[in-house]
This record gives sequence, structure tokens and C-alpha cells, in this order.
Amino acid sequence: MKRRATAAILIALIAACGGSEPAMTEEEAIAQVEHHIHDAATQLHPPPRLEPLRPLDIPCVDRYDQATGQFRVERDYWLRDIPTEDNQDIFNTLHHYWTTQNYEIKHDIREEPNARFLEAQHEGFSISVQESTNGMLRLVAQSPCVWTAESPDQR
Amino acid sequence: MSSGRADSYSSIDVTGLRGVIEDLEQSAGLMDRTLPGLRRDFEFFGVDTANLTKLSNGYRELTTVVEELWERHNRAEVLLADYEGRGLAGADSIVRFPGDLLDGDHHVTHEIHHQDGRTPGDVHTWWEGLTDTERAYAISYYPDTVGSLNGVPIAARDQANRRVIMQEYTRMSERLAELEAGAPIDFYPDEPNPLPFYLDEGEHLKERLGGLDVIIERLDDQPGRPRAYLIDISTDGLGRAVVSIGNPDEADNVATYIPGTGSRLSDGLATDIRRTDRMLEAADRFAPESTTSLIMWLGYDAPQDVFAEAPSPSLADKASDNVRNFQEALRTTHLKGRSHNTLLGHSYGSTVIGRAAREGDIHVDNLVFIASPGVGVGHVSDLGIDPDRVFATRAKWDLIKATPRNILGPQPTGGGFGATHFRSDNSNPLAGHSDYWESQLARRNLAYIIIGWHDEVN
Repeated sequence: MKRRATAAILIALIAACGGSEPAMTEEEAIAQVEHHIHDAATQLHPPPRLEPLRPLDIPCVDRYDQATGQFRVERDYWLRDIPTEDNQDIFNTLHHYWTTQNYEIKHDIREEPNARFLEAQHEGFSISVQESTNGMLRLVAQSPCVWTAESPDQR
Repeated sequence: MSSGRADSYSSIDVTGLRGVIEDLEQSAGLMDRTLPGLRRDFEFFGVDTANLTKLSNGYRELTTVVEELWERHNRAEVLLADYEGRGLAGADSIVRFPGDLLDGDHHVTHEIHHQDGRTPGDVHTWWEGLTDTERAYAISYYPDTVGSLNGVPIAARDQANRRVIMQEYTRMSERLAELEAGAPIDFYPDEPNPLPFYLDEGEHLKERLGGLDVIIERLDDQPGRPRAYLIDISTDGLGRAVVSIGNPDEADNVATYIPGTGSRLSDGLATDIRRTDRMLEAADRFAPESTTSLIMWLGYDAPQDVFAEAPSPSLADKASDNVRNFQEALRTTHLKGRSHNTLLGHSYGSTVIGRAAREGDIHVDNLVFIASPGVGVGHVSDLGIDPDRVFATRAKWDLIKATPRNILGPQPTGGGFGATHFRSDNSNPLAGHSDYWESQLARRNLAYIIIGWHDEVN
């Protein structure tokens, strides 16, 4: 019982100190996510054709793994019409671009052929370029937790 | 009872027939008990045993007849229930039907009741020996048994369990409506029920129905969405649910995800099923040239309270046989050679798979411990698989790391354990125990393990 009370106090303290994420609608989150992807794609030459993949948002949970009802909006696009030989250059270009735009580079795995991965973060959104085992590339962007059409009614 | 040709009507008094069969069973039981003693005595005193042999043959004949009569009874009972459902039954227990009730499939009924407890290999051999008609009969008349049998191909289990889930949904909805019709007025409808759910039948029904809703929604075929298969379902107790995205019998890579503390058949399964979908999606996108199937396996009673139940390994130990049996069944029913199989456990789910692997052949290529409080062994070499194929991760903010090692054993992310560590996210202090599917890097790493690109796991 004492441990339970301690845990509850700890969570309350973390919640109080952590601040709240910006209030954002689902539409705003989608617009931002799309913006990050298209903005990154325009940095590449030749410009890729963006082919959307089935969107499937991610349920947000609390630290006890209980769903909060919010979701991270995520969008995922294949980068078509680009030669795989250019993959290393594409990763370097995006690393340079995101760095100069003051994005925080979270994970940088650019040195593993056919398994490259680069993820950056900006104002609660994350954007990554990911390489498949056959050399195909994807741009993936994700929002912070927001209420969406999938959220239960008692938001 | 009377029976006739296919073009004439026959009838059976279901209650009367049951009485006759029970009397015959008593006689058979008496013969079964006395014949061995008689044979011993006859042989001891040198008496001719010819008559005794006739009696033994009669006993065997009688048991065959009893089996056939039970089959007729069971089928008549199904017909009677059908009549009652359609308001066609009279006040008695007599059913009328055209032709003969037995059409050649009756041995299936007898056999199906003997599959429980057999190995997946034996069950599979039996199933493969049935004709298509016999399989269809088994699925129609015994969906709950076929649906839960490890060794029956996944497509057939899915067919059976889709019947079971709809039957259960109807039964529970009707019972809930009955309870609500007779319930006293709730003066505080917005207040939570003060009783624990398991003490209140109505709350129990609502919670299970919430879980069934989530599963039924995912089973619904939609364009662009991978097909889901229902591999097991039960509403007893905390409930049981095994849902696969993609058919594991046909996939190159098969991964089974076991959720942890707090999991039960409720609407909370939506999160676990979404995680399963996301892991499949990641595997498909990282390896477009191979096929993958992802299974959400809630085939055990998970602890419901992080403080009262989760610190004990007893529920994990109870799940061990089921875990191994299920993994063996995946190997048995797989169609295209040997698939690359992975078993992932989150939180207490990792304790379940660790302890199962410790006790016997776990039948997988990789074990993945996600946010593990301890897996019952101190070193990868005690898990019975290639030590290089044991992976572990824990996010920076995950409080699970505070679990003392004397409760569930050392944590697999510890230095001396010997597992291959992979990175997940470290950015969200409020979701530390569950950040493993939100993180793009963690999903990439899980995908690489599942598709067998182990060297690229980071």
C-alpha cells in the first residue's frame, strides 16, 4: 500500500513538472505531419514521387499501459522514382537539412547499407527516413498525442 | 426411435433415447469390470474360454453401438435446439427428420472428444485424415472444440472461432439485456460501480462484450487491410483471445506477441491488436519481398494488479505449457517449409515466455523481452535457443527497472544476462513502460528481428 502511494505521488510530480503538450486538433496534426513529409521530399533531387501507405494511428498509453484515448497521427510514404544508388546521398541531404532547420537528430544510423535510418524531432513531431532491405525508402512523420475520430466519446 | 430411408421421415425421442443409452452404458461398464476377472478365473481353473470370447466380442459390439447411439442422440439434440430456436418444437422432446440422421460423419464426433490433451502433431494427423465433408461437419457441430485445438490449421480454427465469437456475443448480449431489464433503478448512473468487476455479472458481461466488439471489428474484412484470423476465443474468467494478422500457416516470418499485466478480454485489447498491426506493417515495409504474420496471444490469465499479482511468477508458470504448445502447433501446421518464428513478450508477457523457454522446447528462432521485470533465468544460455537470438530492450524512463531481482529473476537488460540489447525511445517520461510501439526506432528494430536481419538490429 505504501509503495502504491509512493508511485502515485511520483506520477503526480512527473505530470506536474512535465508540462502539457500543445492542444492540437486531429486536422492540425495531419496537416503538420504532411507538411514535414512534403517539406523533406522537396529537398531531394531528382524529386521523388510520394506514394502514400495505409495510415494507422498509434494509441497513446499512460505509464501503466492503459490507453488514454488519444492517438499519435502517423503518415508513411514510399519515395518512388529514385535510384537506390542515391540512398546514401539522400540520407546525408536530409541530415543536413534537418540540422540546419534546428531539428533535433534523435537517431542516426546512416552507415548500414539497406538498413539506414535517420530520425529527427521538431516541436513534438518526429520525422524519419527509413530504408527497406531491398533499398526502397520511406518518409514517416508522427504527431504528438491528440484526440482523433478514433478516440472514445468520453474525451 | 425409428429410422427410415432417405425419402421417408423418421423420429427420435431425444430424452427417451438418452435413457436407453445410459442403461446400455451401465451394462457395458459392468462387462468391462467383470470380464478380466472372469478370464483370469477361467484360465486358472482350465475352463473353456470360447463363451468368454463370445462375451468379449459382444462387449466390443455393444460399445460400438453405444457410440453410434450417442452420435444419433447428439445430432437429434442439435436438431431439437434448432427447432426450439425457430419456435417449431412441441412440448415433448421428439424430433422428426428426413432420411437417416447418420450420414457417414459420425465417427468424427467420437474422435473429436479424444483430441484434447494430444500433441499438435497428433491432432494435425487426425485432421489431415478427415475428408472435407467431415471437417465441415466438425466445424459446424463442434466449433468451440475445433477452434481451440492446437494442430488444426489456422484457417479452419478461424472458421470455427468466428462461429464461437458470434454465439458468445449473442448469448452475453441477451443475458445483459435480461439483467438490465430486471435491475433496480441506479440513482447514481455516473458513478463507477463500487464492486470489483468479477463480483458483478453485469459489469463482467459489459467488459467481455467490449473485448468481443474490438475483435469482431478487426475480423471484418476491409479493403487494404490485412486479413485477421481468430485462432482462439473464450469468455470464461478473464477471457482468452488469440488473433493473428495474416495467416501464420502461409507466412515466411511468424511472430507472436504476448501482452502483460492488466491484459484481459476487454476493450483494452484494441491497443494490443493495434500494436500487432503496427508490427506487421513495419515488417512488411522493411521486407517487402517476404511475407509476415503477427499474432496477439492472450492465451493465459495475466496478472491484473501490478502490486498484488505481478510480483509472482505463478501465473507465468501456469501459462508455460500453453505457450510451448501453441508455438509447436505453429510449426506443425505451417505449409511452406520452416518459417522464421519469433516470440515477443511485453512486461509480464516477457516473464511468461522466459519461464516457458526455461522449462522445455519453445519452438522459436528468436525471443524478445520488452520492458521485462525478469524472466526466471539468469543467463541467455538457460533459454534453450541460440543465445545470439535473444533480444531485450527497456526504455530509459521505464519504472520496471525498479523491480527487485529477487522477485522474478534478473532483468534481461542487465549486463551479465547476455541478451542482445536494442534501442527503443527514451523521450517520453510519461509513457516509459509502453513506449516501444510509439517509437519509430523500436518498431524498426522489432521488424528486423522478426524478418531475420539480426545484424542490423541497433
